Amino acid sequence: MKGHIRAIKTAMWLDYQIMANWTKPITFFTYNIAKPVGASLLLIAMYYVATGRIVGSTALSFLYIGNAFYMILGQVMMDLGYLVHEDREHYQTLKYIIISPSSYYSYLIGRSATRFLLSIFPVIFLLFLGFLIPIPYHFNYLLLIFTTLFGWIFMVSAGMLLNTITLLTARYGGSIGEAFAGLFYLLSGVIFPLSILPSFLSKFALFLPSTYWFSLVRRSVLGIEPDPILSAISLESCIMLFILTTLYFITLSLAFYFSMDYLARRKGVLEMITTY
Amino acid sequence: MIKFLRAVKGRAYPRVIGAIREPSWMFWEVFLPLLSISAYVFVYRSLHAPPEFEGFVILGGIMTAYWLNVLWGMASQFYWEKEVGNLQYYIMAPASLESILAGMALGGMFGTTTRAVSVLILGTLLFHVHMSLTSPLLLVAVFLICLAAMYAMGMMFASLFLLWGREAWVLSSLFEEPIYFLSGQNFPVKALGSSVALAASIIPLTLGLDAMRQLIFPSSIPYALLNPYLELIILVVLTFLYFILARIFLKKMEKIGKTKGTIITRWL
Repeated sequence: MKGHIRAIKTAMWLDYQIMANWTKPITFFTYNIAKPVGASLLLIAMYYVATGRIVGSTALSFLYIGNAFYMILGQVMMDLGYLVHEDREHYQTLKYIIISPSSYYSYLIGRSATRFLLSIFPVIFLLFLGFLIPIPYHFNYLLLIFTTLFGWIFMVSAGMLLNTITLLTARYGGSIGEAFAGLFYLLSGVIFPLSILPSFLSKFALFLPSTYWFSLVRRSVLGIEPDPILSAISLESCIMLFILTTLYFITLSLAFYFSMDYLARRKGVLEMITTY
Repeated sequence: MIKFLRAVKGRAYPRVIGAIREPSWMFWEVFLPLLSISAYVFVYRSLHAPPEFEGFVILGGIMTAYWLNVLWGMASQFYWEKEVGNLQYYIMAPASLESILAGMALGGMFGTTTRAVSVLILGTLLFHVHMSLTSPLLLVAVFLICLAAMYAMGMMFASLFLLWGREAWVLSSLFEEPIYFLSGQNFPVKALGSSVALAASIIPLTLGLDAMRQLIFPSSIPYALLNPYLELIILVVLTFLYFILARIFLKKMEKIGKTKGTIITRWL
């Protein structure tokens, strides 16, 4: 256990160094915030041209809060999806990490933890910015803390699923992470209600943990769930469904981790270079 | 000149072959942008926006594919080549760096065009977007000149990003969402206010999108920033400007490389 914790801590430190040591912390944090703010402004501009107003409404609150919290999910998924590619082909260190005595799984948890923590800062900034719009906040802090922390477990398991697939693939790193993040963006009711989706897609969305995660986020930040499909589910049921679907994802990610790791070692692709 | 063209062909070749070599890669190339495009289309549907707004999203998605290629396939490429150890070969090769960059641009355009065309066809079919071309020739001219201006900008950034080192990676990443917003990726850029929109016009994507929106969706003309002919002229000026700047920065990069000797040093 001690070894795992040490590996997680070291991986967290490493991840921060990779992402931030090119500049001063203040510059890094500004950069860290700029991208999510840009994405939120894009949506606000779309809302403005479509409705002709910018003052708060339920639709605006829905897309603003969903998009703000999606930054955490998107960042963790995209970075975990790209991590193998980065370690294997850019830094060319994957083989050393794999043969080191510490667990590669702990290493991945550590790397994702830093990305997760750093993604929280833009969300906090966007929440403050939301007062200007204004977004009608009704915080349920306990629920928000639970949703955020348990959300990380879901994100790690989903990210791990991608990560281990990329052990066997060439060039797909960034694409797989982006594709999965994009799927969650489209199907989880992040910026529009599920009822807008074609019915077969909205039914499929109910099998995704991210759908319940975003519902819990809205309930904990706005105090309401404006989505007509998800508002029919009580808070307790929503929490239970989130936990159950997350457990399913964890099982799936562990199964993938062990099988892909085994196959990658057997095929000898841990040193594969596919960029040109 | 022949040597220049041979170098262009030589550098474009791996990108062209790479784009079509593995059919499964095409799946990701097409599938990926469709996801975010669909999400933005559904946002407009949920807000009961006019149907042409969904077309703006498709158009924005197509041009964004090129913008991403400019950022990651042009601007960051010299830095990436340095990291993987290819840059010294480019510098030593008996060909100009401009020809290498032009080859990368042409090869990149080819790969991105396959993605863009697929997005256009699938997006139009999936969301029943109705387009009415008012001036096809002008549209083609705007599209091609917009690409030329964007890739010239990418050439300029290539040497700058190499000089800036690891910050370059970050800049490419930073030039995504904030630029989507400033260039009016999914909405008429005039909504940002004329002064902000005009300032954002130094990004060729802004003017290109605004002109193409007017030429494909005539109902968007009231939201237009400038006349498409004027936008075309500005795009031509931007193309020359960025190309000249690219040449200046390439020379500067070579000079620094020779005097400091650090241009091919990795991890800087």
